[in-house]
Amino acid sequence: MRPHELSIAEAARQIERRTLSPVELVQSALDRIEEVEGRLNAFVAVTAEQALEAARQAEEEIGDGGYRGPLHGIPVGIKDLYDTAGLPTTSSSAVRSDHLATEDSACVARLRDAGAVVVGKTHTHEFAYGVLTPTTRNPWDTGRVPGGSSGGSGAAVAAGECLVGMGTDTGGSIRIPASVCGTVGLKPTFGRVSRFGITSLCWSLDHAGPLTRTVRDAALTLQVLAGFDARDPGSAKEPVPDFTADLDAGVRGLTLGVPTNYFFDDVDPEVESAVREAIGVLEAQGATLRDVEIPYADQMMAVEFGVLVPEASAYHQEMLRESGDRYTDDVRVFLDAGETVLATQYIKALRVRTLVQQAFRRAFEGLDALVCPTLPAAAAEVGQQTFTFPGGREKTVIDAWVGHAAPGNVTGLPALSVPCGYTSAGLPIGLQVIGRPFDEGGVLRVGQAYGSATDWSSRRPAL
Amino acid sequence: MAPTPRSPLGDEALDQLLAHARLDLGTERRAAAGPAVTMVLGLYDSLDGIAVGETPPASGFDARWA
Repeated sequence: MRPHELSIAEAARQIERRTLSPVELVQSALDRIEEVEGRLNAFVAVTAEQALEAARQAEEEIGDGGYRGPLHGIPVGIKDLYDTAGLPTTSSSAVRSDHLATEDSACVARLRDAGAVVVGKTHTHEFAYGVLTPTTRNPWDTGRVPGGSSGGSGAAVAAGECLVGMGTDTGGSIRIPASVCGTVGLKPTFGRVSRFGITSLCWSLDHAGPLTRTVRDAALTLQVLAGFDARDPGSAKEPVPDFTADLDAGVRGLTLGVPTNYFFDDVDPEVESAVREAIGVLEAQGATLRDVEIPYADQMMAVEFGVLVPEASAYHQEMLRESGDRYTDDVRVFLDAGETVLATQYIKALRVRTLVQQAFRRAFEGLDALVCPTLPAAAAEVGQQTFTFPGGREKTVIDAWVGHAAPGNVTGLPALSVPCGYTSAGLPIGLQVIGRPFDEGGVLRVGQAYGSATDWSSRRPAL
Repeated sequence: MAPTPRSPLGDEALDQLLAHARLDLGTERRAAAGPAVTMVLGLYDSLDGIAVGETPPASGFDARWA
């Protein structure tokens, strides 16, 4: 096994024992980037020289007894919405092609403090406003999209170009690429991870979090990222537990809710079959299953987009007038449309969001987590506009994918995607675990229990 | 709130909305925006039937000084 193929946990074990050098690991990731980037284009920019310098510093520090922890010397890819001092934050847009960051975003600063090594900036769907990331291809089938908006991070982690990729999730943008690229993706609770220094799509729904190859790696990364930050008005003063403490506690004694509506309404049969089998695995391990009805199912997308669309237009208001022609058409049309929304309409969506939150609290009574498909369909082909579900119902790719992700964003609840199988075409399928507020430990525990019982996470795309 | 019927969004209404937003769009952009505006307005209209009563919006403001 080449170093870039290791999990963070295993690489960290070897680095701490000094049987693996950070330089060797980072060089391996850079070699892998060189090997596959021509087919994937996951990165906006690769920072090879700076990465190797940082890896040499890590090696020296560890050699001097200054091991900082599991992320020390680990290669990370940073979604190009995160400010990284000295590098452009382009948001994969011509509008921001010369937007140079002078300061690290909170997440990048925390990763660097933990000793992680930035190997480059990964592509996003322009300004995170979409789920396709058209610049980039899916490592499992380069004729398909990697999902989005954090598609660069999804592709890069799945292909072994880095061990963790940072993502943001406003309507599924961590979980969508994680699911279609066959990685783990964790959207923490709203407020758990600071968004300071991240280009916003929608302040009320944006979340920051990691894409990794294993659940344990997601826990290790979250440990570094989590914590209050007064510079982010959405940041929560919530104690940060040890996210690995109960990771291997299993699911015996837990009650998992299985939705009877919404998440299984329009789903590809292969996806449904894999997810129901995964839920059966959790039951066989001792979890109690209970049917649960998803509240406000008919209003979920209206709340999601009713909040997102005008906030995005507000963020872009000045740039839209100064550089409108430099946006891609699919993003610009919704920025234009969002300009016409009345304040009363926006506030109505925010008021219904409160009702959704209250209803989810009631729905979660007696439950530890919900388990359901991350997405109703696997990776779309490049250029594909719609999915057709059993019964002939047709949905656009964005509506289908965001629909499954939106409850996590609207409620702010922690949500994890873990690989749970493959379609007959060899495309990854994701199981979504949605937990109680600030119970990332709980969703990670469920994901780890499932991951330990199966070997889906060990599969690699044959690039 | 009882659902209130909405007339189809005509060119004149779209122009008024865009003028109100002080957003000057060329012919092509304006044509593309029309269906998107209709779709977005439809989403809000779908919330008409939800009685929000005294429910406050899910927005946060912390008066403490950081």
